[in-house]
Amino acid sequence: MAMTDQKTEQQFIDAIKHRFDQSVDQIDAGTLSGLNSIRHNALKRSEPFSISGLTVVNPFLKRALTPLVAVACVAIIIFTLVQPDSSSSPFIAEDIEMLSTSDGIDFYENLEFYQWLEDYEISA
Amino acid sequence: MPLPYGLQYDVLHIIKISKRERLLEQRLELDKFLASIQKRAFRMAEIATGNREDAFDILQDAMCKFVEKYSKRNIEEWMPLFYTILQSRIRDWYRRETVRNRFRVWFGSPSEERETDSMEKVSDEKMRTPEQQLQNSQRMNVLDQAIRQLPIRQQQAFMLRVFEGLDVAQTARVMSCTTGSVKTHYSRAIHTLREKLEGQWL
Repeated sequence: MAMTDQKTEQQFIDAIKHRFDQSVDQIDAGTLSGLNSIRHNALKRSEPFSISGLTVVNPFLKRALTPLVAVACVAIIIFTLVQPDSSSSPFIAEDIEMLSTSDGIDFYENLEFYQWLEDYEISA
Repeated sequence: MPLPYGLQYDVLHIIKISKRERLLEQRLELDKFLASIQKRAFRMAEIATGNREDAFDILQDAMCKFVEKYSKRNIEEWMPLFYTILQSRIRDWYRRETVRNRFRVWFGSPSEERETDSMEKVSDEKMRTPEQQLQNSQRMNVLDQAIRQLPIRQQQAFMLRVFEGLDVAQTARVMSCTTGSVKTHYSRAIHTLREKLEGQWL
């Protein structure tokens, strides 16, 4: 009795499964096209990490790098705009060179005199 | 001993190419897997929701989530993982639908009419007569409705075991419950369906 019932149950399950498989096979072209497009959209999500482009960029790394790059760009722009003009600086390179040489500062103070002397000797 | 610069470049290039090939291979495998289950998964979602558009939404969510989170896992794990996501999405849909139904009761239901898809009018390739198509469709509708009327856990146990052929352990993993619960849900589902359908199906 139990065997018969089990057999009937299995037949019932098989019939349902068969009907389900049939309904899967009979899915219309419109639905199938929709399913394919869903699948392709889902697969695109893995693309940036896989085969697009020449380099493989981890999306998480990319996400972390984006704000860093933005901050660096802003810093460069600010630095370029705020950087003091070298020509208007009171300490120019020549001054530093003058101060650091072994010649005494008196030489530069008397420079006008030496130039006059040179001109005088030439004319004489 | 360090490699000469040119050779280092070649080695890096080869590593890069092999990595890209591996990813391409993985993508092909993923595509093959999703293509193999998409129709059955769609039908399961359609039976559970009774609505084509909702079934599409559920399947799309499930596929996207699967590709994003679990595609790096072993291929053997893909099937139960995918169905775990799908069943979780169906359960979410049921919860939302319960809330929506409460509002519908208060404010009245919207029109049941839907626009017909032009692709539905495409002729049947297997050349079934309209009578045969109607009969098949009616029988399938009866089955769909009977399954839909089952409690959600019984529905899941039944569809995963019968339609997808998962064993008790796999079904338990997908449904996040014990194997004992799966057996109970499945047995109750079969009992109810037999009561409703046996006269028509055997």
